[in-house]
This record gives sequence, structure tokens and C-alpha cells, in this order.
Amino acid sequence: MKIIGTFDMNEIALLIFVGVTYAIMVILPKKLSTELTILSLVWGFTVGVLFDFTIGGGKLDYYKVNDVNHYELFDFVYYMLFVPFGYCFNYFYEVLRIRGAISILYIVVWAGIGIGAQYVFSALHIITLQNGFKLVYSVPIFLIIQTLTALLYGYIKKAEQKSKADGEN
Amino acid sequence: MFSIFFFFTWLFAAIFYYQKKVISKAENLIIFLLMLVVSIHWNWIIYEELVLVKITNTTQAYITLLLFRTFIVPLAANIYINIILIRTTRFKTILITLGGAICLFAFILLALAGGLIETKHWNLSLDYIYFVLYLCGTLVIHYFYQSIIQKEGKTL
Repeated sequence: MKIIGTFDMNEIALLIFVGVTYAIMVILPKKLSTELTILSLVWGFTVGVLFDFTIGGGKLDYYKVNDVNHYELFDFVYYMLFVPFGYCFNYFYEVLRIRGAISILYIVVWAGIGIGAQYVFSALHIITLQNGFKLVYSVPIFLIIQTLTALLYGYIKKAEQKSKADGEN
Repeated sequence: MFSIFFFFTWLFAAIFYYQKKVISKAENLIIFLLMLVVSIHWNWIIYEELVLVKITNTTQAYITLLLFRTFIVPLAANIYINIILIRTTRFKTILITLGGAICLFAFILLALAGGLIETKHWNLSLDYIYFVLYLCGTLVIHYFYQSIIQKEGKTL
């Protein structure tokens, strides 16, 4: 276990991405409830960690994060990058009032953003695909994650509305 | 051994589903997710990074331990917090925390007995201490979360 590997392009790129995405998150006007905001942030982070430690490590080890296969400080910075993604997914779901069949298009677009981000991360050596894993294999993973995120948003939103209605009665 | 762990995964999920919830759905989910992150990191550091405990080199052993760290442990945290908040005397809290940690520790003993893991440079009592702290961590998250929500005045 290393605290930090070599500090080069991938670490600098990571810091820039984190800086930009967190700035966007802060600048966006508050639209989600506090519970949904916290949930969106935690959800993004946890999904990143779960997939990375399940398919990106252990027996499968389909990709390497940063310079080494071992856990280092900048791996954590990489996981922090999932936080704004989780937040923005739910934020624009709310702001754009995505409902019904439009959700399908919304999920596909976000899966595309995910694949695009992974392509850029690969090009910048933030992640290195290995053991026969190809970028295209991420498509089902992103589709499942984004679908779950949309379902989760609907589930919590419904609970919020029910709770609000109960409070008014 | 996989079947036993799978049964307990199902059992924990069923207990959580049917138990009386004293916190909101969002908070239950947040606790599950955060405790999942803690569980994943603990397992990774102890089993994969430092290899203080070695996982037997079979796919079955690996998947069985994935079930344990991904579902059983975080679900235990959810079940624990929903029990604790119903019975809130200090003595009962301590008793449930220590008892809950024994339940989780029993899975480690089961994994050892079933040959899923073998200890290298590891004292098993550290596992028990981890589970006690893990459950206490659930309480910390709950109170921290409640303080944020109350500050915003938007309790569901």
C-alpha cells in the first residue's frame, strides 16, 4: 500500500477534473432537497467504490487505477470524481423534469457520458484497462447504474412527497 | 459454505425488509451505502492489500466473502440502527452493540472453519473490535445526518 505513486499527468488531470466538477456542483443553484442531495452525493461515491473494488480489483482485476494496482491516495481522489456525476444525474433529472419514456433517453445519454469519461480517463492513464477488458464492456455496467440511479431518484422522491402530504394532513 | 452465506444474506435482507423502520428511507439508504464503503475498504486493506488474512484461492471463497462484505455487513448496520433507536437506554445500546458485533464476528469464525480464509499475521480479536467500532460508526453517521437535516429543518 502506497500513499502516493509518481506525480505526473494522471494525477494532475485528476485534480483538474475534481476541481472543475466540484466547482460546477457548488455553482449550480440548489434544487434538490437536503436528503436527496446527500443521497445523490453518497450514491455516486459508493457506486464508484463498489465497482472499482469488485471488477477493478480482486480476482477479476479488469482495470488499474492510476500508476499501480495497489491502493494509493489518488485512487481515493478518483473515487471522489464519482460524487459530482451522481449529483448531476439527479440534479438535471429534477431540473429538466424528466418523466416517463424520456427517462430512457436520459439514461442512455448519461451512459454515453460515462463511457466518454472512461475513454478520456483511459487516454490520460487515470485508468488502464487490463486482463482482456474493453471499454465497450462498460456499456451494460453504465446502463445498469444509471437505471438504478433513476429508479432510486423516483423512489426517494415519492417517499418525500408522501411524507410532505402526510405532514400537511 | 457459499449456500450458508447466501442464506444469511437473504435472511438479513428479509429481516431488514420486515423490521419496523424508525428512520427515513433516504437515511436507511445513506447508512447502507456509507457502511458499504467502510466494509469494502476494511476487506480490501486486510485481505488484498496487506494480506493479513488470506482468502483461499477459489472463486467460491472469493464470491462468498463478496456477499459478506457487500450485503451482510452493511445490512447488519441497518438492522442495528433500527433496533437501537427503538430501545434507547444506554445499557441496552451497549448490549445490542456488543451482541451485534458477536453476530458479525461469528461469520468470520464460520469463514475460518469453512476454510474460506486463513489468518497470516492477524489476531482475530481485532475483527471483533472492528465490528464493535463499525456499529458505533453507524450511530455516529445517524446523529451527524440528523444534525444536518434538523439544521435545514427538512426532516421527512
